Amino acid sequence: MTHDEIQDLLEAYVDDRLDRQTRREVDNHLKTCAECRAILDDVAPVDLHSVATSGFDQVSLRRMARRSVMRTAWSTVVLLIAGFLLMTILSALIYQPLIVNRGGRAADAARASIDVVSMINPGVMVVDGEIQSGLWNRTITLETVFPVGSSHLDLDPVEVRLGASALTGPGGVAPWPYLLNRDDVPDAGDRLSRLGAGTVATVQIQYVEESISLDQAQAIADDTDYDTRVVWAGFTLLESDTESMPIATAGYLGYGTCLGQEIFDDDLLGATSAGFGRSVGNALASITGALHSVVAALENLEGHPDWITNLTFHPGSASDAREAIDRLNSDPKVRTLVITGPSDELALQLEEIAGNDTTAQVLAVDFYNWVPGMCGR
Amino acid sequence: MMMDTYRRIRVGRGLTWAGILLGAAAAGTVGILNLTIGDGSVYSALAFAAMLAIPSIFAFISLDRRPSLLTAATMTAVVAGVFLIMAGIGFIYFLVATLWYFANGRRPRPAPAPSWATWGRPLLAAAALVPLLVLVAHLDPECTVTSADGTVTSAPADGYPTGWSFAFGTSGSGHSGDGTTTSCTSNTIRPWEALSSLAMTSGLAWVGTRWPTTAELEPDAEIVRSSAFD
Repeated sequence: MTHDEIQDLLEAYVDDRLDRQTRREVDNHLKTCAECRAILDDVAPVDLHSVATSGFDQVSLRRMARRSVMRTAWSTVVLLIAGFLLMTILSALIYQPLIVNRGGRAADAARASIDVVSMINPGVMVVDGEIQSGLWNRTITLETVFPVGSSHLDLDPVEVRLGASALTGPGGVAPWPYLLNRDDVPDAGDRLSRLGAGTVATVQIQYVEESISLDQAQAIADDTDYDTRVVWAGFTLLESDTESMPIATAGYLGYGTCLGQEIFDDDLLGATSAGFGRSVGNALASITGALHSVVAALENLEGHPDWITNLTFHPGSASDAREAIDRLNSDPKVRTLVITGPSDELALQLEEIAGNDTTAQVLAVDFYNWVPGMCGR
Repeated sequence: MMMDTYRRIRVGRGLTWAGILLGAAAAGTVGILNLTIGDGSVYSALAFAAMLAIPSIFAFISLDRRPSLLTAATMTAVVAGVFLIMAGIGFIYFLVATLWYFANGRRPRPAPAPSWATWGRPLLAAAALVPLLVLVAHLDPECTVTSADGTVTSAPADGYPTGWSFAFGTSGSGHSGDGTTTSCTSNTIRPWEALSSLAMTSGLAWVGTRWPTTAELEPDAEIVRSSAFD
């Protein structure tokens, strides 16, 4: 291509109208041709071509101004839409985890995980824990040991992952209950709107060496000044096959009362087996399912019996539950998950019941809120 | 010192190439991480990598007479950055977007663009989310049990929901004293999901190649008008 031909192409070069081959040729020429580069400087900096030749008449100036305003308006609209999309994404990936963390919920989840490990592997001790942000989620890592005489047996770390987000609908509830918020479950907003101000209830997941009987727990509830609802969900620990490492399958059984009145029928709170294995990992998965069952139970207490079927758990009969309650009261191997109403004081009393037993842990988990009277039907 | 026009153009293209390579490297890294740390399948790793390579693909296509597509690539890189922000690697995409932003700024004149580019570009960037949504559109819980002798068996994922629902995976794993390791995840990525996502990504790349070149664009009305005066 000649020098003159190149010069004819400079306008198109600036506007990116040249194909790859031609552009390459112009590029190569411009590397060595100072004259063409000087022409390029004249051609390129401002596209005054149209303005200069239009003569700045009133009509064209008005048209140009109108176009400028329209472009600005369009840009604003596009920016708003892009901002909305961006905020939606930010909400799912950043805001929601912040909500999860609010009030130390991630820490609560970690504590609950510790409790779960303790509950499923009686005697196991969690000696360290850490929450990390992973590629797609947050991971809670628990270092556990199992006491053997005056020494201990190191166990492999237990990992619990919290998903980055959980956008669920009627077909699927967030697999980890701590990710639940008002947008995650149907009617959640309605249910939460019924909460009174300041009525932050707690759920105590309790692991005690000697299980608390229903009568004892109800007595505690009756002694409080609160309109307390007590729901029991017992985790039966099945026999292990080794003496040194009692690993058990968790089975979930339920029973509930409200304001001292026993609420107990087939569609109120069923029995479900959430366990499907024999290891801690299975148990962790089990407990997730079990906590779902607790949610389902609470929902049923509010008059939503369909939730059990929605959650695809297996409702049990009242007689099954009663039999389970009997076992809770009599079997020393049974560990009890006690969920109580708004009662830090109640938690303290439960701790007193645990007494000086160093293996006992009482953990408060900001899990679900409700107000007095909600549980009545 | 003022940079001459030729140099401005060259720097702009250099920045564009830097962003393309950086974005592609980040996409490849995410794919490898998904395959290794994330225990993903080859399918899901490919799908993630391809999905995150979309900004670089757009930018590469923009180099051939489609300068206005670079803005769409920049927007897509921002979307990818936001998506990956939790993972830390998202900052690379913000860096890529910044490079392309400055590359655009190096242009001596505004890039010629079709009239519908104002809404077409953000739409294209938003569409880049579709392959991601396809990946996680169906919950497929799965548990595997690895015994001490290395035997791997599957186990029912009781308690995990399944079905159509947008959700990223939540998983748990643990080890028992007898050497058994159990891992459960609420949402494994099935081959059909990965292949669908790959198809969507390919579709987006195809849309990029259909983006009008400057040669196809109508000349600016003012220029046409001024030419009539010449």
